[in-house]
Amino acid sequence: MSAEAPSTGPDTQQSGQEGSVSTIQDDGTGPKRKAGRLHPLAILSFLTIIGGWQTASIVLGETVGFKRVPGFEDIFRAFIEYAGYWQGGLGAESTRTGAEPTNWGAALGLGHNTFVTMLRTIAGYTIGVVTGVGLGFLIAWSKVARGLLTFPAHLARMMPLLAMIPLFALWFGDSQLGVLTFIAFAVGILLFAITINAIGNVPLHYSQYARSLGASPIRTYARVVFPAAFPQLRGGLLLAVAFSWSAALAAEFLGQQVGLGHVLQSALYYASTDVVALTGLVVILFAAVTYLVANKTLIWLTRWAE
Amino acid sequence: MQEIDSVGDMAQIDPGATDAGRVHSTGSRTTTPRTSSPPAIELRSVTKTFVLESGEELTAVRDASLTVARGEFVCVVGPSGHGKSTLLNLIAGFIEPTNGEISVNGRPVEGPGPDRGVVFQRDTLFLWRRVAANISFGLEARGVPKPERKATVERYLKIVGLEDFAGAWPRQLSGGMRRRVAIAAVFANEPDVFLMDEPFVGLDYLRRAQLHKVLLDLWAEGGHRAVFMITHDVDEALALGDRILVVKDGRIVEDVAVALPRPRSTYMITSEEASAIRRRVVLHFGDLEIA
Repeated sequence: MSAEAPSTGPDTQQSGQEGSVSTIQDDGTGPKRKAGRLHPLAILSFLTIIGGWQTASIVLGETVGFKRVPGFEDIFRAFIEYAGYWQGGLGAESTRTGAEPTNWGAALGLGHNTFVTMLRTIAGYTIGVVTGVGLGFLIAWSKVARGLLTFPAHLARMMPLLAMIPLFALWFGDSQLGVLTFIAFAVGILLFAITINAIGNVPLHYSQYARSLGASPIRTYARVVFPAAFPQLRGGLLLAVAFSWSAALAAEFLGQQVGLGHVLQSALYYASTDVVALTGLVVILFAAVTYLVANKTLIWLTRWAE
Repeated sequence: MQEIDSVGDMAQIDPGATDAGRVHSTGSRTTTPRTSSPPAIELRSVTKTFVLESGEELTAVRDASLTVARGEFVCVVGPSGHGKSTLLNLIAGFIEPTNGEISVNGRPVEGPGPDRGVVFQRDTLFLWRRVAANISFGLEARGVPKPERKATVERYLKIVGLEDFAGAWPRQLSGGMRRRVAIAAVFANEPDVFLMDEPFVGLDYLRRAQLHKVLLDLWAEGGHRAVFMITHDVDEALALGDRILVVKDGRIVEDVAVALPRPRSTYMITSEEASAIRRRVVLHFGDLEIA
């Protein structure tokens, strides 16, 4: 038989890396993109936001020691305020004991509160993904589960998330469980709907083919339907990353004594818009990092997709 | 069931034989094999009616009776939307007949199963499994031990000429290569019956010819199990089939033996004998005004 050319051209090469069987190595990129280069319009839009913010700060100015829009110099100066959110230790005294705030104490305060919020976000996100995707697959799989859970799940999806915060506060108080449950709820409800949609879009002939090869219904579901639906979950999983950060900050308003949400709550109480803005920048930075990590992971997991 | 056209030259196939000498004229309307073992595929007065969303009923297969002997290669032709794929889906067990009975090797069909391997018109390769893993899917599902699985996969990769692509993702293969993997995956599972729904659609003439050879090699490798293949290409049916069925308006309206020796060349399928069969088949599509 004459050789046929594989379809992917430049990214398809012969290699003898896996024992005696040659395999195709694929870098997965297709046509080369100029990775890491920003579009000129993106740079322009970024500079416009920076310029607009700074202009608003100058124009609106200061009213009785309160700046509606803090300038960038105010935001960077606000860093030292994080020293007030450090409990003391590691060479930096707590300002609550009367010690002077230091940059080291501020760094520890920022690091500690960011770390706690990130841990809550990751834990809540994980629980939400498992619950939401699991519930979606269960409902798509079982007629009984579909009958029992579809209505309450869709009802929960319709609920305004932020309006649920007081309810969670009443149920869980200021416990860790309340924060995690709220984040998981926000993520899970989003992914539940996306999962059901993704499963519904898996072509029927995949299941028929698997069954005709002797796969049991469970094997077909686990080894065929789930991976076939996975690329469609990718967008939802990424969306849920940003969503989980928002939910974490909102949940930390529920009387938490540590975390970036707690910092925001205190800053708003004292009308420290500079601390609010700096905390917002920190959240954007870490949300972007987690988004990029999640995106890279999901790209790797779906590297087979066309 | 609508009466089959004159079948004076309708032949009965002797299972297992591979040359033209195995074709016996019977002059009968039935194609029941003379073996004592049950036929590979048997349909008895099968009807399939779908109820549309509008409430209307659509009968896709009407009172179809058919016997396919073990080792027989049956090609099914007919206009689009006249029930060919429904017939295949019924045999595969993907849908249930409204009336009638279907059995494979004497066992009633009750849903899909590994005794009936299906090659779909659409690409069914599991994109998330590499080529070798695609071929071993059915073997894994049936609990075949790993060493045996590995040997089987290697053997079939060699037969279809893709031994260098065991570790490739399906998306890295051309359309023809993907077809070969799909066919190998089904044959490696060693079903009793192969059901193929236009497996070579969209491929050019040369690729088709190559895949015909691959298919026939696999058929021979598998001990000439029964094949039930839908095609729109009468030449393909002439090149591959022991019999050609014509399905029109949900009925099997023609069942003609292809008494050409194997292997078949281009000359053979353009011979007078083949042309007579072709004429007999295509006239069921109507006397079309071509230009």
